[in-house]
Amino acid sequence: MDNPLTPEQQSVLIEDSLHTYPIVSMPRDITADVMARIQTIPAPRPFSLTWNEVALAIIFSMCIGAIWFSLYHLPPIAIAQLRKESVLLYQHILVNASWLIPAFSFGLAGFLSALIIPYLRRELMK
Amino acid sequence: MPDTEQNLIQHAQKGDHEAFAALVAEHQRFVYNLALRILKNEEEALDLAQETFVRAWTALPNFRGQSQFRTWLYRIVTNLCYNRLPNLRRALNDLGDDAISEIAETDIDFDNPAHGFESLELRSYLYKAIDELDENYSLLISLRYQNELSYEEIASTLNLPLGTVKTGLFRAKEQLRHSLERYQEAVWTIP
Repeated sequence: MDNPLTPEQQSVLIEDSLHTYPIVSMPRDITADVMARIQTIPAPRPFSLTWNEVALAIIFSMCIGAIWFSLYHLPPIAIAQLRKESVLLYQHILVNASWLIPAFSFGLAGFLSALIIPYLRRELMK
Repeated sequence: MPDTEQNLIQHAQKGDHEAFAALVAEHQRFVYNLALRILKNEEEALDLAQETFVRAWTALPNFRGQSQFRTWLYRIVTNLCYNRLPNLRRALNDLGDDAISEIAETDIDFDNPAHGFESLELRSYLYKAIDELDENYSLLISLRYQNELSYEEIASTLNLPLGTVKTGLFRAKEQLRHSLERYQEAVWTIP
């Protein structure tokens, strides 16, 4: 090597190397592998709602709306009565059926697990 | 009708396997190269390239053509790389956003016969230095120079600020410059 490169020459050489840095060829064509893997996946379909889903959504919305409307339009005495009854029920459960709260919690957890675990298993098996 | 990429994408979105196979054949090399530059392992890169196309197939209905198909694929590649290299995302974010307004990209022809052998030798050395860059710099360099994305496209693909992309590329080149200087010093001191 005759002389060290000047900073400008270094820049040129670096830029040149970056532009000519070779793109390696594929060790093998992966098209067949990819196609084999997607055979098991249902064909993609654009997001769309079915009429059943729309009907369910409307019913749920109406229920929530009805509850909200009822709560805000009940006479104050009825709301107080409701609150009192719910406190009494809670206390009754605590005293006479203390097993109910953990049973309900575990039941809910089991139900949610039953919903989620099959999906997680499918994802992990991929 | 010629099979333009747009046609192939539209057919693939409707579930046409042949159209999707054509897209895989067209883009696999660049997807594989990007994965290889980041993961630096052939088998892992092949696996990730396959995974990219499988993800692309399932997400294809969501592709609205707002970006180019290839940049959309590169986004999937980088997201999969983030999963395999948890530190990559942090390393990119940690690049910061220094005040680097413009990066000079000189376009001078280096094929001067007087420097032929020397430039060839130095170029080989630089290729090796590029291979050895950290993953975050490799990703930026690969997207910029091999996949030929603009700074804006890189920023959008990686979901990073434009300044961070420029900073990263600037620092990558600085690393290469330091490597080159070390190499020259070593050669210079040999009697």
